[in-house]
Amino acid sequence: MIDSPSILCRASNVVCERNQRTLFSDLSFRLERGQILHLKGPNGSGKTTLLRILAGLFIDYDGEIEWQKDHGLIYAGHQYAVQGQLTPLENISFILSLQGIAVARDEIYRALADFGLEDTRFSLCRELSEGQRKRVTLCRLKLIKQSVWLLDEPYSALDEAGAALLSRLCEQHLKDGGGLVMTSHQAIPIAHSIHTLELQPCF
Amino acid sequence: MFLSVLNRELRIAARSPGEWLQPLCFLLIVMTLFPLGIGPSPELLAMLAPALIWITALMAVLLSVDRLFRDDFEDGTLEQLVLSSGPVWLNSLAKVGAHWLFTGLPIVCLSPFLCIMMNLSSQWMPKIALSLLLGTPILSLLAALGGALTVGLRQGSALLPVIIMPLMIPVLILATQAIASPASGHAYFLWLGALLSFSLTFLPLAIAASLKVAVSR
Repeated sequence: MIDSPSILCRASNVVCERNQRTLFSDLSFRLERGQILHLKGPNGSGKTTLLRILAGLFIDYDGEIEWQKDHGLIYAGHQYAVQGQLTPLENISFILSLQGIAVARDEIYRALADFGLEDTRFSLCRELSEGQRKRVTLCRLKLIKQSVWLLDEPYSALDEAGAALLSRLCEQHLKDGGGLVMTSHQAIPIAHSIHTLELQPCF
Repeated sequence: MFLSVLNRELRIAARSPGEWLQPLCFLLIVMTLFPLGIGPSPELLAMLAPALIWITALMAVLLSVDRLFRDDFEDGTLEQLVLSSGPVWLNSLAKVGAHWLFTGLPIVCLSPFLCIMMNLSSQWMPKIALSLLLGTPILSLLAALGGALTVGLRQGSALLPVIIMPLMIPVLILATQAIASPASGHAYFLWLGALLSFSLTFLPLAIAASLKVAVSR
């Protein structure tokens, strides 16, 4: 049980093995409100797995992960969860409805416009470019309010303007007292102190 | 939430007609080939017809189910479905419902036409249609369970019929018996209905559990 209200998540001695290989062992860290945790490490060091463990998608690990009572999660993984046969609007309102949130169509259109997608309003997502689909998936960061964001390589496939936009959203989220865990191979362009968690491959 | 999943599935299906027309075309083609293969004996054809219609319908449902969860698995929607705030079984049920609306229901609607093709007199039509109406939702649910179990596997589509076919056999037996038995067919229809309510109650839970396993690979 987490006693301090400023801590969103505390992980102690997390061990994970996959395919007879230890990805990480005795990993301990915590995530506080207004904090970025940058998961770093070479390919195959288990960054995505750790993120999936935090999201609750991967349960085959040892150790303890505690959460603040009223925490909510947004998980944006490698896969965009953008269905090609639907328009951006339909995709976003579906993701929102999965979270039990109903948002007015105009508000979604505004979020899409912020992400530079106003011209693609009536096109199907399979006609969009990789970067545009990434923008569609990131739109939910603007529309859903949750205290913890788990982002897997959020800057990949984004152009400069998209990256700047994402950074602004993250900064606002941190200012509002949210927590952020992200993997990224590049330095994170967010004007905020960044805590780095280095994952070393162990053999 | 149930409705929004259903709505999404129906939209996707409406925009990719090839996906759901394929099993129906398969059904029609096979049913056209039977009279040609069996030969010009109307009596023999009429005798075999209920079983042939049912077996072909079963194959058509199997054929259609491979993609049911695969697209969502590959594009990450399944992860979001599992992480959603609502119960996963309800969302799975919505997906199965949409699948039935685009495969089972058309088969039911086509069944009078199939009866004509197989030289069955019109008194058979309601029985066959009713057996399909009660039976195809069970087939959809079972096939969805197979789809959910194999979605995470690379060679899953080869495994699917092997897993699911044995589970479909009771449905086939009950349905063909219900059609074949003259007066006491009622009991078989009741059994079929019981099987349907049983499947509707428990299979969504099994599908949800399988999807969770598939996602947390």
